[in-house]
Amino acid sequence: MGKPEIDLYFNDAYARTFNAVSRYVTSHASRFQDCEDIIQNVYSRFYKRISEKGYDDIESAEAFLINIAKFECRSFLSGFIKRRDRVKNMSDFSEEETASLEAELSKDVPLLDDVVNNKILAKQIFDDIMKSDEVVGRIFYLYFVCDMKLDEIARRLDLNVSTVKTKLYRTIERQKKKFDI
Amino acid sequence: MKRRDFYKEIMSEYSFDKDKILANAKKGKFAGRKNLPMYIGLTAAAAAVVVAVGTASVMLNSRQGAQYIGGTTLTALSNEERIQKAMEEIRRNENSDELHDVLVTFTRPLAPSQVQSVLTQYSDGNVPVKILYMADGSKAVGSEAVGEAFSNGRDSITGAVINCAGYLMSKIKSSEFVFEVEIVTDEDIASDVAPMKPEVENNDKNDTTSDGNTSVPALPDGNSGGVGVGFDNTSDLDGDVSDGEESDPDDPENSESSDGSESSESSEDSEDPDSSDIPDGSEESGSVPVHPMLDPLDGIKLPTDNGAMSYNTANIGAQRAYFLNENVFYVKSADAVSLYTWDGSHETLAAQQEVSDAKVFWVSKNGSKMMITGVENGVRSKMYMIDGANCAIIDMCAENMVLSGSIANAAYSEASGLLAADIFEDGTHYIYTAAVSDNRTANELCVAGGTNTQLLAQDRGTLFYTDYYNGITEIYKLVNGDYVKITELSDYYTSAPNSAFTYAVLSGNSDRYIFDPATQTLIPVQSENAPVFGASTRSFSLDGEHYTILNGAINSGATLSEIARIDFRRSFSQRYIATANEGAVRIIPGCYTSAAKSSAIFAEPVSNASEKAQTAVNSALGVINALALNKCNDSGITSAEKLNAVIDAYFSKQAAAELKTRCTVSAWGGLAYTNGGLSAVNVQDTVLVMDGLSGTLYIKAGTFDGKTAYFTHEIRLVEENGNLKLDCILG
Repeated sequence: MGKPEIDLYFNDAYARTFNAVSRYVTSHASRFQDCEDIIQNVYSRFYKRISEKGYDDIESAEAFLINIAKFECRSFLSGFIKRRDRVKNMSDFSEEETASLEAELSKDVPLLDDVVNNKILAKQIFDDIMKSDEVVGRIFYLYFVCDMKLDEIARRLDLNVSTVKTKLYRTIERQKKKFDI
Repeated sequence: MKRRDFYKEIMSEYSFDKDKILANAKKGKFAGRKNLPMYIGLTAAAAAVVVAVGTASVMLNSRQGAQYIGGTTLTALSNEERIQKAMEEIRRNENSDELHDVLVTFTRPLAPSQVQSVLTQYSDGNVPVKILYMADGSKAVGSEAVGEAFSNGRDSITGAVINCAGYLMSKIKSSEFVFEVEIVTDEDIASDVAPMKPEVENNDKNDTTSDGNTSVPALPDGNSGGVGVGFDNTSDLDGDVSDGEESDPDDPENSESSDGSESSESSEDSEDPDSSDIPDGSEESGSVPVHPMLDPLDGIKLPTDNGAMSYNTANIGAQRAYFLNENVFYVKSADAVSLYTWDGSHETLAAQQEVSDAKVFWVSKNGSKMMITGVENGVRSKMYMIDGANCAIIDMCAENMVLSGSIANAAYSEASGLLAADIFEDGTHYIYTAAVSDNRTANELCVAGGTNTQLLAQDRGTLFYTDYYNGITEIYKLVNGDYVKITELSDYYTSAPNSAFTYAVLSGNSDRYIFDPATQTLIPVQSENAPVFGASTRSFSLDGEHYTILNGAINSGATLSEIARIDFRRSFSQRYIATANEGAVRIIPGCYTSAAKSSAIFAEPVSNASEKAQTAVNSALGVINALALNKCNDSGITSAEKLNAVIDAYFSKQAAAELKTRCTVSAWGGLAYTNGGLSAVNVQDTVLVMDGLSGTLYIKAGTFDGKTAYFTHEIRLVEENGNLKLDCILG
């Protein structure tokens, strides 16, 4: 099996599986800032594996990669350790606030097109999300990129749904003021 | 742009650098060391090896079964008699290719897949199965019914009748899932023979020591059964990374393993407990009798010893040594482990691996293989397979688990093939599972971890571990990749899996438990000492007594075969025992012989013989020794005439005639004789118990895990011309 063929298979698998793998890792890694390293290792190991042993025996690249990711990020123990110390009772999130959040997210804001194209500002907004709270970045990624539902995120991260909503909503509200968006 | 799309764009763009990941992956680049656990293969570990178990339609051969007790069928025997009969059959068939119908009784009801695995483990996957016995009392007889039982996979099976070569009996018996193997006949089957019930009648097997004595009271206090859930944590550990010594809970080695840091070797190697058990051959040899012997003719000095050999190698820095099989012994020194072959008179270095502070964590039941961990560059990071059969020391390539941490503990189950390791790094214990393929670790997976997580035990591949948090030691098992809490104990308990990884000892500040993963039971052990399992899957020694666990309950007693597994360092060779002796390796005759396993008994005989009777027996033994060891000439018996006179002096007319015939002693002329198959006896090792002119001579068979066992011989004396003479022949 030649390298071009391997690369072709890898590129295809990478494109098809990245969302699923990043979603898994983001959900399970102990810290969001580790996620990129973990994903890197997952794919590096996957590439090494198919380079050395081929891919004929791999029925599902996604399943294979998720299995690597599962233990690459040592997710079980991370969750195991973290959950204990997590304070679960956060302030409730009212129905009004929920409705407000949904409306806010669905509202068309022309200014945002310009912001996205302004790489410096866009990166500042991203960094602001990431530095505010370790969990916030994870929630943002899972919610917006992976299209997970809030209750699903809450279950995955062992948080109350209201906590997830609070973090999401308040971060957006804060950014609106901070960056005038 | 909607705000939702805005954030999707932002997070997609900046969360992960997809292009960089893609490029790095192709270059083989990995991120920082903290995320480097190796994963090999997705499906290999989970792939069940389906081994076909053939079903047999051939008729049972009535001539194949052994007739042990006067043609009595098994159903007419007690369990104790059946076990004794089975032991004899196993011994007699050790090297036999003859096919037998064999009833295999399992230690507990097994699933059909387990039964197939157990039965085919040693037989190239093809064992005709004639009958299966179900837990509900029903039977599956014949190929069709057996095949259906195997394929439906639902029934619990307590026993099976298979057709196999005799030599396989001992191998099948060695499985941790097998309680007993017995040859069965047509008559046995016609009389509706059934598997024994180990959980009810385990006294027959496990309470009965080789001498037939039964039932020592169980462990002190309330341990006859399990209590709820739980486990123990003694720091015994043949199995944990100690070298198999009984370890002291206070031993720094045990405490160090909890955090994976290194410490110096414990005292286990500096003080070899074997030494006290092993008589020094040189002390036993000699011609000065402890007991009086007659001296019938001037210049004759009959040998009182059995001529046992004793050999010392040069000083090779040995800290520990023992045989792995009949001709290979293992030596641990400060900075290496070595394998030597032994031809009966000289040793030859066969393999050596530089590694510091080697600790054995697994020993196969027959000693053919061991796994050790060792320190390299100051870190316990290496794992080696010691292959005695092939004289090889193989790096198991555990780096994929260890990464930049250290091995705090490791355990392996031969039955399930599960290797588990506790890797300590940056204050966290990472629990890994792996398979062993081609003597190397494979399919390494990190399955659990925490700051106070410990390996516990496994049952049929299901891993159990402990985690300590907020004053509670919690016990978990892994189910389908997730953890399920089983129970908890107040306070901190250290966990020590046994070498076979079938049980674990949990030791707390004030109490101790054995955790039985099969029943998920905590069995209290009320002793200040930790149970020592050695290489046994189910028996252990504690406070000088032996016990066997069955179905979550502890039963007193263990067969000598089980004791041999506990005392594995002295039992893997029948012929030799090796021990470290001031840097050299001392080799002396072994005691765990087939003869000892089949007929030696544990006893504490006290001699009551008169001096006259003792003298008569000892003198006769001297004659036997001279003949057996071909030492007549050395003893001063230089002619046929003298030999005949000596024999006549100590044996009755009838016994003397028999002895002369047996040893083809020449009547006149030059000295000529054979040993007649006689065995020499250490007179020092005998105890004579008489009742009138008859009695029993106890001949020490050896010390087995601290307990002395004896062969027994009936003794008859007669009085001729005022002297007592032996009226029988020993050996």
